[in-house]
Amino acid sequence: MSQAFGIVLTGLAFGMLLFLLASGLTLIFGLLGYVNLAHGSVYLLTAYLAIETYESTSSYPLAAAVAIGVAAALGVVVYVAFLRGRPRLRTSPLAQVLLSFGVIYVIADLTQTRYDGLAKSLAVPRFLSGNVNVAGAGLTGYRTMLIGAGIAVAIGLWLLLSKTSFGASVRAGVDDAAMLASIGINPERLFAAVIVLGFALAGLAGLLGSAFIGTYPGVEYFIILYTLPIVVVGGLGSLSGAFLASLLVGVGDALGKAYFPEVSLFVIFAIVVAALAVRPQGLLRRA
Amino acid sequence: VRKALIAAVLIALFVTLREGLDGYALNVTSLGMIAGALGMSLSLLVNYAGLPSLAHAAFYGTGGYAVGLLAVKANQSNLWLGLLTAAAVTAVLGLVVGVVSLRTRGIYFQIITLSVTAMLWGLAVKWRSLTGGDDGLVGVVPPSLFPLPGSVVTPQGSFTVAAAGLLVVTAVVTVVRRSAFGHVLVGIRDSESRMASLGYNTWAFQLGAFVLSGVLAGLTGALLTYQLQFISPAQVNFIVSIQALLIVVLGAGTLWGPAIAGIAVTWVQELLQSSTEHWTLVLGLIYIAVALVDPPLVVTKMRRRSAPPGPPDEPDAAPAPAVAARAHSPAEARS
Repeated sequence: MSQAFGIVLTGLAFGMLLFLLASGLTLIFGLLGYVNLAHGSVYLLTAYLAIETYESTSSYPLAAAVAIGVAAALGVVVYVAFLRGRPRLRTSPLAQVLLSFGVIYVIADLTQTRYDGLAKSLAVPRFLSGNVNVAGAGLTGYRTMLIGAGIAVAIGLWLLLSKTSFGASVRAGVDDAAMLASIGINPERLFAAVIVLGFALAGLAGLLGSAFIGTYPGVEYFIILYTLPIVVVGGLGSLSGAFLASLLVGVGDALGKAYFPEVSLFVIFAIVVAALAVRPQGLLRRA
Repeated sequence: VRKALIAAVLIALFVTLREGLDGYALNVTSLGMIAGALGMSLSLLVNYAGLPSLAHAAFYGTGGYAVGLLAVKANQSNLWLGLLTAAAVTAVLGLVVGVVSLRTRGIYFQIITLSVTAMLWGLAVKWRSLTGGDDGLVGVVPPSLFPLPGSVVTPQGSFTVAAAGLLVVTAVVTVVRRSAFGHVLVGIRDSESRMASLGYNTWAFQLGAFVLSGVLAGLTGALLTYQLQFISPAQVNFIVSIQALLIVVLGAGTLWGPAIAGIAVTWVQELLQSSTEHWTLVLGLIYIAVALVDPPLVVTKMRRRSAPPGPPDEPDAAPAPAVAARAHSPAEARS
């Protein structure tokens, strides 16, 4: 019982971490038609930065500011340098894949150089951890906090999208960007805002995930392989779909790893393939 | 006359390289030709069928595991038998994956094919009793050429096999491109609804291209495993798919481009790796440049102006247009 509870708790926490990443990915795709395969690299970079900042200053708020700030700044750079005024990159999946991998390689090289390719994780700050690692029980407090943070972000995003005029523009843009421009809303500014929002969420994931799954060279592939299925199964552009799918994948992965370790990876992707084969446009289709 | 000339140049090039290069250079060039053959097989899908599949690593790896398992578990190391097995296994895989993934289009097609690759990669990593997991299968012996004499042991031998493989894949892709089948494929790429209303079963044509392309990739993967005498999950990793796409795009939509781009990319990567610690950075910048510049478009524009064919902005593809300008083929490789 308590073991199963621990597994589900870990799964939920992992699911929430995935939701932080998948929500940004799905919003950016929904609005710009750009699949940012380099989303995992934002996690890789910001997790390292959060750990470095916290270790050198012992200030968690400062670590948070660095992680989220750098992620947002990276979003601006990617948008201005590669996406603004390049309609081809919004319509050609081929070009998107190559661009994303270029970004992945560049960030991989920079972090490799700075951190010597070491796997790192943040020592959970005492005020976040509740009960600290009683043999086997694990960091229950931190996982609970992570779940809470995920739910808070989900509610925040939902409020942002459904109750503000910014959110209304985004929802309208997901449905029909050309129509949005024709009623006088500058789509470019909206695109920039959504990219920055999506990247900042990935930065938050880097901050929170650094004390949970940690960061290491290659984590960017791990993340993209887990978040893409979520975005697809949830329906590209759909926030609520991404939330549900994140929970499913997180808990499913934890259970699979615990009880069917031989086939867990295979099953996750088999589900994606099956879902896409049955519903070629994703399961849910609303933002 | 032109064909004979090209053949003569290729043969001369082959003999010169085979006799002139040292073992190391021969090995790198062999790997490059295998990468070129993989890109070539993918170009059939990307350039002519308009299907930018990310499942090619799955075929590449499956072909490799087919001959790897044959050699390690069944002690069977005949080259022809190995290739036949690889072809059969990847044909079945291609049929299954094609039926499922061709239900989707655009970005969904890319994601479903990526998931297929991830699925097989997951199997290769986790099914330790069969695949050896991350350690891979060691001890794939050099293949024998029976009924021909001897086996592929020396770098020269591997070079010959790789060159033959590249030639065969290139020939198949060329023949397909120029056949009625190839013309229908291009027609479907340009407008699926038009071809459908003309009475073509577009799905069947695309499935045929998918299976054929997958089998060619599987054969190429088998050659790689024989060449390395080793197979590990790295050969099924989706990064292989991405690199194959890069090679196709660098091939600039031309018929022969991917073959040359494959050799060029492999050499550039090899030289970068040995000369700078930051080769990943340079590689990343190359990817970004290719994504922004779009070599197929550059070549198209240059041909429209009917200027003498020069290199596109990307240095890796430099030799491509010179050869390919003579091979008649539409340059648009857009999806």
